[in-house]
Amino acid sequence: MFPSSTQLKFWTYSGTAELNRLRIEANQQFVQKYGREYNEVSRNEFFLNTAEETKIRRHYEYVLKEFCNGFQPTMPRYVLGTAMMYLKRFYLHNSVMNFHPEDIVYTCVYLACKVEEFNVSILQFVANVKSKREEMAEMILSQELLLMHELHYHLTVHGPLRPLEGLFIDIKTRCPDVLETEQLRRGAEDFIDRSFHTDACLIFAPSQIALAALLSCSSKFGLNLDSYVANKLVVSSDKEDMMKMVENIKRINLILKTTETLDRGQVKELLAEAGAMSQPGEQPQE
Amino acid sequence: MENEKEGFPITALREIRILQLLKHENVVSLLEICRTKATQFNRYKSTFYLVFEFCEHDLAGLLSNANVKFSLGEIKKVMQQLLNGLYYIHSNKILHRDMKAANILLTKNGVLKLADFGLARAFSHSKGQPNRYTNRVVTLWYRPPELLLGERNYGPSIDLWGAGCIMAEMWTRSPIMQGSTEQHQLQLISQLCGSITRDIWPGVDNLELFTKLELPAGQKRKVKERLKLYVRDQFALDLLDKLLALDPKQRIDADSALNHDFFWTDPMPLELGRMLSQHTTSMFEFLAPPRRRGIHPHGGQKPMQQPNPDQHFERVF
Repeated sequence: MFPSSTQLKFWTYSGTAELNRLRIEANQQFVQKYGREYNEVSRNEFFLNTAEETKIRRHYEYVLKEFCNGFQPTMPRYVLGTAMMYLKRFYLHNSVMNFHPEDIVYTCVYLACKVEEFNVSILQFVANVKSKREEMAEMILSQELLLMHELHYHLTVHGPLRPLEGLFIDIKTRCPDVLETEQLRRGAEDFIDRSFHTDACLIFAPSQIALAALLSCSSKFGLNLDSYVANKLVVSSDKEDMMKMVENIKRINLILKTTETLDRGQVKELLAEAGAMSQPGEQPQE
Repeated sequence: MENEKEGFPITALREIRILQLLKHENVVSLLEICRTKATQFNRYKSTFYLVFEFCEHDLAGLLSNANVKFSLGEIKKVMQQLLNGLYYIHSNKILHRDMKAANILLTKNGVLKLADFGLARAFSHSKGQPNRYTNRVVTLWYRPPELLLGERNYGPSIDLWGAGCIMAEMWTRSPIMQGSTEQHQLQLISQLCGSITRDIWPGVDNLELFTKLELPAGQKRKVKERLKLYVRDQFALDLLDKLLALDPKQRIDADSALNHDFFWTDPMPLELGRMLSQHTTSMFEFLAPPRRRGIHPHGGQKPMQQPNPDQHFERVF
């Protein structure tokens, strides 16, 4: 259950401000540890700042998604959601300069496959990359424990897809007068897909993201779900609960709207720069 | 973490997730996970430790000590807590899959905890496609007939068979059916619970091993008859009979078992704290002498042929 989950207790944050603070801390920690011999100007030049780190991390979110979507055998969508959450959690407390996302991405997906009981062997898994399969397998297995540790062994992830399914079932059973609910599915799933590339899953309950997804596309189809939400879904008579929920739905929409699209060409340059920076042997080992 | 081709074992991942999910007085609670650093001294293999709340005793240890005496009310309390724990995990869609006296812990205050979720997994009621779970689970002496016959689409009732075996053990003080092979175990089951036939267990002939294993014919069911030498209480005998039903569909579930008259007639379930306070040393199975020396090696070794997931952990209680 989400209310008693480690997700709510340890990995749900108040808002983007708190998340940014954590990311700045992770960045600063690295810079302070390895940048002592630089003066301030060259330090700023040499190391990535938090904004640059964010761009790289977001780039790898797309890498992760593309890898999952092309995966053979076909991977259930919640595995992608879980892997994405692992990636986001990992880089809340770690700098991309410390652990290259190229490694962490595949480790996240591999761990998510196991946790979500999508059983593929490591050989099947690395068959999905084009080259250096053995190195990849070795890398994944060597990073897995580190990843689990950094996730504080909180492995269960509650994603928005299940609650979305629940909402569909609920509407169909309790509001048979709302016709053609199914036509909302595609739009709602798109919304959730876009939410994976924002901080929404680190701030809101998965069921709220699911509801925001449903409501955002219901207006496009001219369906009015207000009376469902007000009279059926929210049974609490407390007006404050209702206000809070409406507020959260608005905030989710806002996060989706304000998250900038990523210029991936620019990220490639950044990565080249970062690649030049990390020298073998310099990377701190656990 | 020795020789793990697939990285961290999936059984251990399940155990961690399940323990983090379950929060109940009668389920052992996981406090922390730690690991050793990989160094040259352990050939760069970390060892993982799951740290649990401390429990002074396990039921196997208590039962093997003749000085520990359970009154009828106290036996009821043990069984009530055990079934409460099972009811809770089953309603959370978890199967324990390794019920046995050694995995039932008791604190010195008499609170019972289900422990060792190393074989546990989530289950779902199959619609359409039947589930294909492994049947190589549960310590042989506590393994229900459907698993012995190769069932892979099983459910919570497998844990209730174990609960029945443990309940009987509260009086017999040693495991009631100590088979040495799967074939032998089925023989012992038939001798106690009667022959396994299509009449008493519709559909049993569809199980994979039904025709491949030798099943004793013409055995009468003697659960009450044989156990009444130890158990005098009629309600207890009746509940045992329902827990040890051969057909898993007819076996009583945890909820109904908790509503059984056994728990609601005098003497009522009695707190165990007072009785246990007379015993100041911990009693665990691994500290006790083997309960039946020579018949089956049991000292900590599970009679299972599958790789034992426990080997990746050392448990700290």
